[in-house]
Amino acid sequence: MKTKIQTIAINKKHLIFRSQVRQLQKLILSTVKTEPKSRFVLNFSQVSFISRSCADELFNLLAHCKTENINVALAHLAPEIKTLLSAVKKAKQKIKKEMSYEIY
Amino acid sequence: MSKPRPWGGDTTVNFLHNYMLNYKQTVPAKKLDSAYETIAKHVEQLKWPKGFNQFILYALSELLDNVKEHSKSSSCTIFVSQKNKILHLEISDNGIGLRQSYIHQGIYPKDDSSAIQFAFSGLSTKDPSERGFGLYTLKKFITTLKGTLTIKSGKAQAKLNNGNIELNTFSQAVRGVTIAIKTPVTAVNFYQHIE
Repeated sequence: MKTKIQTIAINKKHLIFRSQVRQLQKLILSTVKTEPKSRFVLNFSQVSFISRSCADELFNLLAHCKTENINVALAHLAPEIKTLLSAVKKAKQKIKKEMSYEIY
Repeated sequence: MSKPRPWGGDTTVNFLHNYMLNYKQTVPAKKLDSAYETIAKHVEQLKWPKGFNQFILYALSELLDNVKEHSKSSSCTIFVSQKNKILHLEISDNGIGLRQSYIHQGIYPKDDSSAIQFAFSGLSTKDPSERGFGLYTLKKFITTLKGTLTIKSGKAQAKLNNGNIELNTFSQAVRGVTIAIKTPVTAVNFYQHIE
C-alpha cells in the first residue's frame, strides 16, 4: 500500500483552545483508520497566533502520533508561531525533568 | 472622536482611535471562540507599544481557555477597556469555581484561598500533559508590567501587586471565577515570559 500524504489546512487565524487541537487529533486518528499508510502535513499558513495552551496541546498531539507511528509534520509556520512553539517546547522539557524527580 | 456603536444585546464596542478599545460582552460558553476573534481583530490593529498587543492576545487566550477547559460555565463576561493609558481586562464566568476545578483534576485544595494560591504557583494537574491553569505565566507578565492581577473565586480573593499577593476572605461566596488585570500600556518582551 502506497504512503499517502494528507495535507490538513488549518483555516483559523487564531488557535486558542486546546479543544481545537483535540479536534485535529480526532481527524488524524479517524483518517488513519481508513488509510493507515497516511502521513500528515498540518498547514499553518493562515495561523497568525497560537495560544500557549494550544501549543502545549499540539505537542501532546505530536507525541501521541509518534507513539502510534503516525507521521505528522508542521508546515508554513510564521516566525512568531515558531518562536512560541520553541518556548513552549522548552517549558515542557523542563517540567518533564522536574517531574522525574518527584517521589511517590 | 467617533460615536459609540452599539452592537447587539449587552455588548458595547467603542473604538475612539487607533490606540483605544472599549469592549464588554457576555457570551455563551460555546461562543468564546467567536468572541475572541472579534476582540483579536481589533487588538491587532491597535498601535500599542511593542509586545503589548501579543501580551493582551495571550492573556485573553489563556483566560478564555481556562473558562472553556475547567469552569463548566454556561456563560462568560469579557471586559477589555483602555482609559488614561491603563488597560483593564476582566473575565468572569458563572462556573464551578477554582477549588472545584482543581478537585475535578484530582487536586484537593483545602479551601478557596488555597486554590487561588495553587493557581498562582503554577501547580500542575496530575495529568503530565497539562501545565496548569496558565495564571503563573500571567503573574510573571503582570509583575514585569507593574500592573495588578486579582482573582476572585468562592469566598476568597487574591490580588497580586508589586510582586506581593494580598489574600482576603469573605463570608459570602461568589459564583465562578473573576480574573481582573490592570496594567499600564507599555512595551514588553513577550517571549521572555512564556518559558
